[in-house]
Amino acid sequence: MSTHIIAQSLLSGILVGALYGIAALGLSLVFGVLKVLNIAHGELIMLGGYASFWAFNKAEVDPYVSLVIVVPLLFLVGTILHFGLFAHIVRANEEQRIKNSLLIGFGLTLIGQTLAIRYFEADERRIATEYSTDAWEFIGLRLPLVRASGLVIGIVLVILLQLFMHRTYIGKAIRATAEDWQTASLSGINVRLTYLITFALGSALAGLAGMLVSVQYSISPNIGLTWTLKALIVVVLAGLGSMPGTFLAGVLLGLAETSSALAFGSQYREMVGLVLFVIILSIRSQGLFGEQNA
Amino acid sequence: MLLEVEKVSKSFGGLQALNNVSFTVEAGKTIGLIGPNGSGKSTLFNVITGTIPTSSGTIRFEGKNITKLSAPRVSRRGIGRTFQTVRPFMHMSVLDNVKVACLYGHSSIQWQHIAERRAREILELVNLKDQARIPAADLNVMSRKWLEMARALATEPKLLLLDEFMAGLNPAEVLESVEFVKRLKDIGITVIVVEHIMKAIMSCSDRVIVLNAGQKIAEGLPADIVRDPVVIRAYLGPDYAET
Repeated sequence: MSTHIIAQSLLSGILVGALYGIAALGLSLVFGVLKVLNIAHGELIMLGGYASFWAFNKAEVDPYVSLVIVVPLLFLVGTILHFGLFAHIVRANEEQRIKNSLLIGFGLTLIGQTLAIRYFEADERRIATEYSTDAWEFIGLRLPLVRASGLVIGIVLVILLQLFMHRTYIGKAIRATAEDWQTASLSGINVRLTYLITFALGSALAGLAGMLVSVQYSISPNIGLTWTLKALIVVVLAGLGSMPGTFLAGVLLGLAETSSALAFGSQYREMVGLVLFVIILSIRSQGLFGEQNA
Repeated sequence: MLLEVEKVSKSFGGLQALNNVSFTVEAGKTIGLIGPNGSGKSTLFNVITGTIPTSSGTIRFEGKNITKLSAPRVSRRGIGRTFQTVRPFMHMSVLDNVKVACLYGHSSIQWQHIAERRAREILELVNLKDQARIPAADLNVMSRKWLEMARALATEPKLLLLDEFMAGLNPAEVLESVEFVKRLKDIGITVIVVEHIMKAIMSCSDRVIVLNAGQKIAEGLPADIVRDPVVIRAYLGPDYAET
């Protein structure tokens, strides 16, 4: 096997991993702060993908420009979902929250899929722009433009999220609530509002990931669970509490998948993530970058 | 009256944690709250701060009914508290712990630089100024207690509830804490202090309230309370009465 093939595969792994990382950011944020596992996260990614697709298909809005519609739209969807469903769960204790959120998430997944088939049809769709097949070449390696955009957007997003969480008024409230909602509450933080903003933000991040999926891959009504699973593997790999860690874990998963495809053949590619999932849970339950309670 | 607790009860299933507890707290006073473990002291703090709802009864603060208010609203009205088991935000810096309470505790509209200046002033007050930048998780138990105090003070409380702040401290540290509680009174903060160390309660309280099995069994001046046969029987024990 030539060095060129190995280098090209690793590069592909980094690029696909960047998308995994972005897809997991919202799930990690919601899980970390609300202690709620939103299995329907993938459906939000699907919805974001379709929103971009229809904006492109019907109004010829560039998918990257469509983010100005998609992100607020998914923020709104997240707000409604939280108000209608998840706000009731967060009043329960932590264990009950996870159990109930899993059930609600599965329900939402089924509803989301059914509605998507009904209104968007079951066909696979993707956004094919004029630049979809463009690629940069350097030192013999091919860097597809739309895939590279995922890496750039991911890095910028993580920096912005870090600044938001550490420098802003709401970010500090989110961090405090994630650590101890009772102490946060007694410090004057409106925990319910913080939960709402966090859930809506997580949904908005899923919307952004959805746009990238529709540009880089394809979307269909049944992609939700696949992306939830990818995001969940990344969250377990990374652990909670670190946005850069989550993104980096996504990249690691991408690299692991492409490396295994190189070594053992592409039929084992999907299995690698699940094997990593089990190994990390067994030997380091707080994940690679997760924070252990002091 | 700053605080009026009127016939407050709280039950958890079949357990009556508080039973018709009534008392008032005058502004500027330090009140000692004592009683055996499980007598309802922390539950009383929890219902006053809005952490858990009352089963019945009324709580008024500055003449306004706060019984149904949520914890953040109670905090913004001016009631702060520390926990028996200290609970700082471990992954935040010492400064950020206090800054968060400065930002949200009293007024929700403050500029970050003002909050930071105020947080530094409070850290100086509790001698944690030099540790401002380190994570709270790196502090020792004593410093974590002072950070807890700083966080509570950052909410600009008119009434501060101290839940066994002096537990686990050595005699010198207890003395230091008692002096600090006295200073709080001097700067106009009304304090209710839950404590098992009777010397500390005696030296800093204007009045003492005694709870037993969720009921108020006595209230009065510290010197009278330690001679009260009901209190001796329920809590202090005959050994204390003889000393």
